[in-house]
Amino acid sequence: MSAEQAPTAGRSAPWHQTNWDLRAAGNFVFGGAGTGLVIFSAFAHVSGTAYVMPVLIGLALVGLGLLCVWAEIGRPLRALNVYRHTKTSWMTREAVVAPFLFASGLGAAWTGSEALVWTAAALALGYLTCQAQMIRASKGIPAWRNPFIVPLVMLTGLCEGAGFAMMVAAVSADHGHLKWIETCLLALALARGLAWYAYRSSLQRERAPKKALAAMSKIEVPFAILGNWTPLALLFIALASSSMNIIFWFGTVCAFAVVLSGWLFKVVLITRAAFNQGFALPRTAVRGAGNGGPAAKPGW
Amino acid sequence: MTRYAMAIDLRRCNGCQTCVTACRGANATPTGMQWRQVLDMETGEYPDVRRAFVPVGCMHCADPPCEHVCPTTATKQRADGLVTIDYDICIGCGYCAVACPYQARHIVHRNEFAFGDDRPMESELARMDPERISVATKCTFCKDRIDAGLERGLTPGVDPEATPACVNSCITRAYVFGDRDDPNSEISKLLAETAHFRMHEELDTDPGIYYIWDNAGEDK
Amino acid sequence: MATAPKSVRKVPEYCYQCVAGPDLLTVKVEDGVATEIEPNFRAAEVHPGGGKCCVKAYGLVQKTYNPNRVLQPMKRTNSNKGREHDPGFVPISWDEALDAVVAKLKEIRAKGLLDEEGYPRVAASFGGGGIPTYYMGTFPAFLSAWGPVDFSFGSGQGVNCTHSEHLYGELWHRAFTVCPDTPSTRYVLSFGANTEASGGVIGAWRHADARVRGMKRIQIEPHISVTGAASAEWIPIRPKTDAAFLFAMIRLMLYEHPRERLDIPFVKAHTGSPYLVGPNHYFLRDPKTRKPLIWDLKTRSAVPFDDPDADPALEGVFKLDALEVGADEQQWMHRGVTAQTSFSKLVRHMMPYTPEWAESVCDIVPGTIRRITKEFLDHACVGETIEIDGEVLPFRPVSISLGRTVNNGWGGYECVWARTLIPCLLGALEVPGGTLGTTVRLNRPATSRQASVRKGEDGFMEYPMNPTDPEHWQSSPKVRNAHGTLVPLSANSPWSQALGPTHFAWMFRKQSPENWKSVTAPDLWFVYRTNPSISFWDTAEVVNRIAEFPFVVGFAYTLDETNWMADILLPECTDLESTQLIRVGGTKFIEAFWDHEGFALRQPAVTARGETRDFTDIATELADRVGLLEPYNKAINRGAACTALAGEGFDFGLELNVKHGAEEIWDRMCRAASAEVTDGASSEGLSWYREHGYRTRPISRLVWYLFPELRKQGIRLEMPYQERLLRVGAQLGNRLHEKGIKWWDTQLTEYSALPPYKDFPAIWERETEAHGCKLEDYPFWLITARSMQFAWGSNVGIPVIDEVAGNLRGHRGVVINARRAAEMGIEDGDIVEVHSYVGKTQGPAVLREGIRPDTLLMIGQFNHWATPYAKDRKSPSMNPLLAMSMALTDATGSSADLVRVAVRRVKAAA
Repeated sequence: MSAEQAPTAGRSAPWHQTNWDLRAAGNFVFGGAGTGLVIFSAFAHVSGTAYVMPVLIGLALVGLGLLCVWAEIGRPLRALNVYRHTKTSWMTREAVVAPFLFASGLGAAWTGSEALVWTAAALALGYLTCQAQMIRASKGIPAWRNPFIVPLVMLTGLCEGAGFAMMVAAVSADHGHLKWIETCLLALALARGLAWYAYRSSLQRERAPKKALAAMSKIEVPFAILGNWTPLALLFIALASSSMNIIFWFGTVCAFAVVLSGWLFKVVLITRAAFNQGFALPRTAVRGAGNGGPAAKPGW
Repeated sequence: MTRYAMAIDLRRCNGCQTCVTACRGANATPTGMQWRQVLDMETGEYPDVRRAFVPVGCMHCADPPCEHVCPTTATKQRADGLVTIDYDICIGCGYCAVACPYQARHIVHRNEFAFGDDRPMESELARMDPERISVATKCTFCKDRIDAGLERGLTPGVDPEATPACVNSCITRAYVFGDRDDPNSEISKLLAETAHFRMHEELDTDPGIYYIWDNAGEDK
Repeated sequence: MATAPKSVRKVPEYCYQCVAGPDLLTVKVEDGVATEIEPNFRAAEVHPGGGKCCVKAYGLVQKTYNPNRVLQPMKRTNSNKGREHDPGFVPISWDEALDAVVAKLKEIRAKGLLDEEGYPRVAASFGGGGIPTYYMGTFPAFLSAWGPVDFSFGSGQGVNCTHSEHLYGELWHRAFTVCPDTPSTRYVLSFGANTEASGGVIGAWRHADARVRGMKRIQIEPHISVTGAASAEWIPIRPKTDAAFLFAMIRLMLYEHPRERLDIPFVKAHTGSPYLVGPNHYFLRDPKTRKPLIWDLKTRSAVPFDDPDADPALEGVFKLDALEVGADEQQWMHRGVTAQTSFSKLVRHMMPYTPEWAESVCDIVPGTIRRITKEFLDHACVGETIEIDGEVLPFRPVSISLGRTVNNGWGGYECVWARTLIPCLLGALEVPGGTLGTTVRLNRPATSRQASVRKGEDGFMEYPMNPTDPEHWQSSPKVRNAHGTLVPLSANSPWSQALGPTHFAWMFRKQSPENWKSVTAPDLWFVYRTNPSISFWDTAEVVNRIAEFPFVVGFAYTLDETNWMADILLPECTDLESTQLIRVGGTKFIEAFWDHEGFALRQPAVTARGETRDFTDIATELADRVGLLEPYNKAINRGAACTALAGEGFDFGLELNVKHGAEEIWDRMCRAASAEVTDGASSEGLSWYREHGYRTRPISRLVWYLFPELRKQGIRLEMPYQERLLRVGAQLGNRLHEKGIKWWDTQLTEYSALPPYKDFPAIWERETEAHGCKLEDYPFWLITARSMQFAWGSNVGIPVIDEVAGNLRGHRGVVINARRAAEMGIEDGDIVEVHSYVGKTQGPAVLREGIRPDTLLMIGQFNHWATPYAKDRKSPSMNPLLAMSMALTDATGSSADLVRVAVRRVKAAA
């Protein structure tokens, strides 16, 4: 590694973290969607629709996410050490929830037990919470440590779960249930949209590295406009419509849009907007005589 | 109680990079990995410009976010304030690195040699430590020196054999190391006489590096 | 954990990779492998920088194990030389290599030591500041035994040193280099003096202490260097106009402040200010004694300057009878001539240089110059005294430092004159708190500034000028840069060759000027720890000239751009592998002021790599094979390699006809050193030094100051009026004109008694225009600055040094003002090409606020194409952009690293 490529050589303004890449993002992408889908499976179970496939798909997504993480860590053979710090680490807590989630989910799929389905859903929600809190606890990344990241990441996961539920319903010909999923999706997308603006305005208010703000601004159109508000409008139309075609196609398109935009957000959050704190001085030093100089916070 | 801390006098530092190089040698860090760094910062606009050199590294925070997030307990905080990493436990997840607001943690997945992978030097081979590959590493405040020195009855910050390499090497006496909880330690006395701040104090990590910027005064 | 080592040793060493050394250190050796450098903590008791060692020392482990090292002797197989010709080096045995070198040396001795033009057939070039002598063991004794050697092929001197300071500094106050009395000064004006980068450990240490103490340093330079960063204030001055600022300060002191703000008693008693000046601009003298005259206010008559009862008039116009002696003994006997004092001449001379005038030149508003002048006066403490070791001395805590581009080339004389004059006016030269010289290299003995002081006939210090009188002038240069012929001030010490116009040796090889004998290539050229192909100016031209040398012997560490043209490479043991004892302490370059003096040892901490040999053994082998063993041993005995082996009460001299091993030689040297330091009480040898590393004794701090010696001898400082230089210049002109040489006439104009300001930047601008270029096409000034990590270090091939230097903005880049860059569409990191009328270079743009919009900066000297590691770094360098040029050469034979350039964006940042 040359000096120019060295971790912080010559840099004081925030630069992008290099420890978590697409693999880490994969955990949040698939974990969020998977847990969201498991949660919706419970609702599906209640409503009497197919839930086995959604649960299994949801668990597979969560598993895929964990696989991504496993591929990311430096010492994969020591992965079980992750269980050593339940006291304060959200990563440990996520890992603790995971086997119970899988056990209850698979058990529900195997036995059809409603209790197990709801247990799985509750654990999935816990798992999703862990993920969101894990991001928030990353104090070194201003775009992550913002408190609004928790509802935003969780709502994103739930939206994706609803989106996936919609896709499963569409594929499994449970079209009769599309409307209630669409209703849920509409509510969640509305909440997600509001969380997005709360998050962004909080970032602006609390200040964040310019480049992090810019990275978030860049996805305003694909994430918020195309991925959230447009589907919201379409869902309104779909819900107002009696045409099965409209309900089906608008719902399916919206599902894709919401899922893909959520994934985009998380990928950007982890791999594009994760500028670190950088270095700052509340004042510069007195150099022999005179006064100290003004504060320096480059990149903010 | 003891809390080892460091004071860095920004009035003294001239950005020479001696401490960085000494740290690289003392800790045998791989090429490009600088546990101790000295930043070259600039403020203002031409012609009202100031340039400042700022040594940074692990701040050995009293409330270390890295320790909180570490899923393995590899990162620990000792009773004397040193934040440590157990390389045998760390899984290299990088969570601590994103939790640290001081960019102090580094992970490399292979030991790069100065002249290329095919031409390691004897000095590199002699000190290469496979345990530090693919795990988090950072400034230790030269804890091995501190511990070995303490065993010999030496005082960290006073006796060079018990003092971090960066402190020993500094050619402007910008660094002072010692026990913050001992009112008679050099660091405590110096901090009492000077105006100082800590970096990113708003993040409430209670960092263990103090930056001196002036003599103490009523308004400081 | 890495395996715990079985054995751990800490071996004391010294590092002298730069002129600010030596630093005393230890190297940790684990199971025979050097692993870590640390300060020699014990040395804090004697070393004025707390016993620390600088960043360059920490690269020594990598330097030792660098896989790119030349580890066995090599010979060239490609007879074609030049950058484009791979030398095709192949390994050979030591015997074969030494035989080849010795055969050539014997052939030279058979032909005669001087060639047909009278130049030494053997030439040698070593790196800057005498650094290589701290690593070449007894090789100086070999060169001494050999006879005449031409050291005048420069490797950067004259453009990368503080040249005017070296020459004029030694003339005026035995100051080869100059610095503030940092431990007690309170106010320092630093015109581009990059002390934080070049001052080494001691400089950094002292200035840090001074800052915390409250010393105010104002840094006046076109970009904010690391020294500017550590200063209270940065004032961005237009390049090469520093003399205007200084002249305006003098003007303000003389015209806008009351006389009593100056140290009038000092000026009267300790400078040449009262000397009366005649109509032909020479001092008026007593016809009987030929002593310069002053006007005695008591008797209202002219009396010799050294009349003990006189009360000299400082200002005024007086009428008297007197003798005036000009160049070549031309004499005028005046009756009733009207004369002014030198001081009055000065006052009149400075009248035009108002701050308003200075603003138009140096782009600094008059208010700033006025404020700084006032602050300078306010801090001068005129009238105060301080006692040092029982002697009461003036205390004047103000000082002025000059950087190298300020000091070099045209304008250097004016700046050094003004910088020396200002403290003279305040009694602040060579006194506590003031401006001090550090060491002597042109005057002898080199070990003591005080001992080098002798009173001259006119009441000033004697100076060993190269003669300019018809009888003694060196009409035919003895070495290729002709310093003895063209530069009287360069004197004739072992250092003098390096302080002439060293580029002339290269330039005149290509084409001799009119009425000048041709400059031949040396039959054999030794090179060691130097790389003029990179470090000189107009490097492409230097490479071409080196390629013409028939036989080049390189003492090699790695391949580099200069030994690329070598015929034989001899690999020497490097810093941690060989033995040498050196002197430490006293006062020395930059800021090295010690309270102790003595000796320090470098020793093999690890086994020598490959077939490398201790330089001392190489030197001994060469001496023996060439048949010079006896004179070689004699030279060692008399101290050519460190200290004399015999002295009062001790004799450790080498037997003259015996071939001694390095260990034996250095053991004797250690014994002699012990005897010297302890006044004969001890004679411990090498083994003692190997354990302890150094041996010193305390000295009085009075040796820091020259004023006590001047006062003791009744010597005046030769300020402000430069009658002697005026005469020397006129005589030199006469000699040259007698030979039909006119091409030095512009340089002769520098020999003025009171220097006028000239448009110095225009000299460089005209050079650009002279090559058919329009100035508007070259809108920027390109300047350079030292990097502490690399300066003098010969360490460009050491990765860790490159790595940490990268933490400083600008390293390996082209620093440009951020706003100006934005106007040109250049973003941070974009690759830009910078070109002058000579050449071009490329590098990434580094956008900074701390640089003038009309200036570009390239730090250090890189642009390597052969040195392993460095050649892959693709760095810009200003050296290929500078021309070796007569027009750019000042009277001392130096130029400045300054050129007008254009910049264009080549491609976006990677």
